[in-house]
Amino acid sequence: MNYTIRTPEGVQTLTDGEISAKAKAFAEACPSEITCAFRVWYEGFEGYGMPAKGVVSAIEQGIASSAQWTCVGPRRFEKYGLVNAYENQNYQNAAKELNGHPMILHRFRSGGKYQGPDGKVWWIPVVEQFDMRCFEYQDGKYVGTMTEINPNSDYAKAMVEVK
Amino acid sequence: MAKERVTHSVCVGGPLTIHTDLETGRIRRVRPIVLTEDDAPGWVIKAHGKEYTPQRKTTLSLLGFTEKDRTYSYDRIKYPMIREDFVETPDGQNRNTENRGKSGYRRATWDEALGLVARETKRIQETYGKEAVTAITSSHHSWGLCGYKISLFKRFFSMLGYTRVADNPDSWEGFHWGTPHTYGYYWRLGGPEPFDMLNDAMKNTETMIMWSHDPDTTRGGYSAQESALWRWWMKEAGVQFIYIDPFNNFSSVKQADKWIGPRMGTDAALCEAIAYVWITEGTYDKEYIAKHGHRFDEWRDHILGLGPDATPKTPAWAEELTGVKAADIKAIARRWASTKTMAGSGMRGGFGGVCRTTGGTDFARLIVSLLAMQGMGKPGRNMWTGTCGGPMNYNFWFGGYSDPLSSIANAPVADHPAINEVQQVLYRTNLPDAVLDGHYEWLGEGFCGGGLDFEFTRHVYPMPGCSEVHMFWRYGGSFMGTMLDTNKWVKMYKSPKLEFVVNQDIHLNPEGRMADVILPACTNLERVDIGEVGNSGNGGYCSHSQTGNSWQVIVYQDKAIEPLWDSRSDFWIFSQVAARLGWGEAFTEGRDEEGWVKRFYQFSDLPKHMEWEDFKKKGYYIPPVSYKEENKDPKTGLIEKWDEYPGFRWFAEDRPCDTPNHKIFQEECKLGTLSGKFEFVSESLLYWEPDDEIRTPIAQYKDSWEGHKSMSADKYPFQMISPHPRFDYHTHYQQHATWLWEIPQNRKLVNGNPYLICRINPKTAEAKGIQEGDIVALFNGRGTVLCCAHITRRVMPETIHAYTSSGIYNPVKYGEISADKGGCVNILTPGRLMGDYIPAMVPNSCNIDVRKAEADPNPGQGFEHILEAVDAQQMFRCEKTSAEADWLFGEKEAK
Repeated sequence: MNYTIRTPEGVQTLTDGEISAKAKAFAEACPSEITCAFRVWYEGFEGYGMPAKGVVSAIEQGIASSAQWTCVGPRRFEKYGLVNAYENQNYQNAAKELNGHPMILHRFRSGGKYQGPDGKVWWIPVVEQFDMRCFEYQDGKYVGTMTEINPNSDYAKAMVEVK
Repeated sequence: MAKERVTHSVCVGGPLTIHTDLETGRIRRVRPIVLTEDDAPGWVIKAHGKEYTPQRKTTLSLLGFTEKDRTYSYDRIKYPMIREDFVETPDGQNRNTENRGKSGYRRATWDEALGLVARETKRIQETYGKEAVTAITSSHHSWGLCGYKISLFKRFFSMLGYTRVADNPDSWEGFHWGTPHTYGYYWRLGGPEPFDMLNDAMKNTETMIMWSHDPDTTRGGYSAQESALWRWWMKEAGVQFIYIDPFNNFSSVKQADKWIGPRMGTDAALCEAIAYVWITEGTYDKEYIAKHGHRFDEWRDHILGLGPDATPKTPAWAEELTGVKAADIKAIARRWASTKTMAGSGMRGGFGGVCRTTGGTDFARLIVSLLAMQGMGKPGRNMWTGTCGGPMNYNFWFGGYSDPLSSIANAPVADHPAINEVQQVLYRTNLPDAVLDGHYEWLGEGFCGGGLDFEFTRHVYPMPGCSEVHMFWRYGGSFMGTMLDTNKWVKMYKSPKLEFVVNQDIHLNPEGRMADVILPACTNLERVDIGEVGNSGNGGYCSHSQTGNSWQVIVYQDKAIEPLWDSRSDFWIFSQVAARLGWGEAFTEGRDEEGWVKRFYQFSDLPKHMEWEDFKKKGYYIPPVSYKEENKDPKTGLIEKWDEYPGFRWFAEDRPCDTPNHKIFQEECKLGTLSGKFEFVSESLLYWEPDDEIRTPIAQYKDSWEGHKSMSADKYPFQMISPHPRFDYHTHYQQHATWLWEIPQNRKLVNGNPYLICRINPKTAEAKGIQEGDIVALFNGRGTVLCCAHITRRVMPETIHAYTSSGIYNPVKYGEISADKGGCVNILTPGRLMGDYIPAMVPNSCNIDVRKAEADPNPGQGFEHILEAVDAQQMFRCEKTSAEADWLFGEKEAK
């Protein structure tokens, strides 16, 4: 099936296979935890306007063909609303820096819980700039006062997300 | 002199010290906070051979200086009160609701009033369901993390279960509903990144374009006029200021090198013409646009007249629409392009009257587009209007009022978060329509910081399976003054559908007169709390707005005096009602107010710097900016270099975002648009609502549905501009501090009534036979408001200026749809939303006419409905000898 699409490069006609291949390449270079066909369309293809349903299907096939991404069904995206989503299986190991600059939110999910090397579990509600504010989490409760953890510290680097 | 006790507090007008006479127990005065040697060191910016360092004291705006007056104000609610003809019928019917606004009140005991409120709450929720109760607060009638609306109010009503009323972003509608579709930033509610802009601007900027922006007026709120000093410093350093506003506003007359007065609501055309000049002269940043712009070519074609409308947006085209000479448009465009320019519209970049017109989203998107064309984020070039962006330590954490972490409704401050089990919502601007019609549908969540999708959620009231609301609990301030088409609110209150109305407030505001039960709350100065001036929330919306101040001041809001008369703190009132409903202990979690306040202290960075008892004793803490010791001048003690993260610089330099309050995609060097770039054709609008004819994918000038070309202009030929007020903040100051009435630019006392000043061009005045100081009627099909005429060339001939949210609503006939002599100009403004898909209000798209009014037939009718309350102590009773409508010119003439 051929689709005519519009991008900054002009109007092009691509087969669904070509679209899938481009989508897969973009998705595999994406450092995010989650993605969807629309994100690939707008950011990867730099597509103009709403993609046709067939284009969306071809992009989804491309993402799904990557071992890196697993379909997790409908999820809400702040930009697109509730759409079919894919989760990055390599997210924990993905690079958390770009051009030597740290990517703090890629390292620590705001509102997530992480276990430190000392066994303490931390709830991280604030990830701002290069510092985080955390609360220790014990037996379903937050204990103690607000604690500051530098995300670039050795302690932080050893923290592992817990669900 | 008698000894005094000094305590501290914070209000929307700044942080303050309160000096209380220990002998009399009365507050003697309020003052700014004067910093001591052990407070944080200052900083210095060096540029143009000059130095700027903040004075070692906080500033206090005129609003802040009224705190004492507001505490002892004549219109304080002194006692619990019950409407005298209110009947507690078992079925909620036959309660004389038509008399709301007219009836007198009787004094009640707290036990009686609270008992009635608890019984009615219970009855209504058992009869109709929990959703039958609705409640709403105003913004900022008090300050402090414990007592604030998203904290205490939210805790009580979430635990109760109620129909929430979503706020609309009434101060910056155009930016909120517009700019996210051009540059993202929906999580900042459309506002830009002001971080560290002051240093950048002082060092690099050559031109400031203040578009529909009057900072000397509006920055009394949140920043206590602190930034006025910054702007003056820049002016003295040679920076040129261009003001664009149909009203030559108070900042402009003092500071403008050039004032441009476009016709109301035509600003988008002016933007397009500026773009035309840049495109045809090749004076925009082509490299930046090629890298960071999306679908620029199509937009360029539209500007050049190569699009579907085949109309080049030339300066001559814009002159016809805006009234601004083509030569002036070219001059602005050339100045902007040839110098490093900062521009914006109102505080935090996005406020301002033009955002509250039908073309508000077009204008907001276009000014972002213009800034992008000049390399937004490069040194000296940004969206900034001299109001935020002072140096700040972003790594010192203290929560702001919209922070989820800073609410007693949420964990961890509360052990048990309060969850509202009712899903039904209402929308503030159209609350009266929903109540009166029993049905209302709209799009959008009000504040849409949670995502672009929030702008397009569909709502219907009542929700399927849910009841309409039958009880209304109004908490603090008055929407009769800030919300549009005020008479709708009067009609709503008189509806028997609202079986029970509670008003909980400090002062007897206009809506207080509409309640069945009035609960007197005390001021900030009569209770304890904790708060930071200007901090709307690091993790909440419009974060880091405290950078509008030179100092970051966190205040322990100590109790200066005991609550006056029978007033009580809001916490006490809610606790008492909760106890009567059977969940008092769960509500308080065993804590008093001080116990909650200490939780906020503990859940911040404060304990690392100051012990709790020391903090209480000193009353405030000022975190220093983040700096290295070698960057501190040993002689002056001033910090010369600190950690900086200028807004948009990361994007301009194509690196991961390093500014606070950022999103994960910004770390991938992308904006919050669908393409991650500046969108000149909005993909999000094509995605969500491609058929919207008001908010089109290409932002462009459109004739207003109420403007100079609309049909109503034949009958009502003037456009009223009603920007944010100079002598009020929402409705929280004007009525309560009577010395404000003595300011000639604000009001004029005629026959005992403080008429609001409206500004009329001399040509208009001459044509209408109006003299300086005449009482005039501003009117249209929605109503009539009497004002005092001030004749001035500061407004364009087609424009009449009168500040919005006058704070005073004084109808000629109480409790009726009536002319007003309090200056409540929102009686005239349209209740219609900006568009079918944009739930924004548009007070500045308002056609009116003006005529000289006859002399007031009811001299002395000023505030007796309130003053009687003071005199009688028992209660006010309104037996008005009130003016009849026929004294108004129109009806009299008709006779």
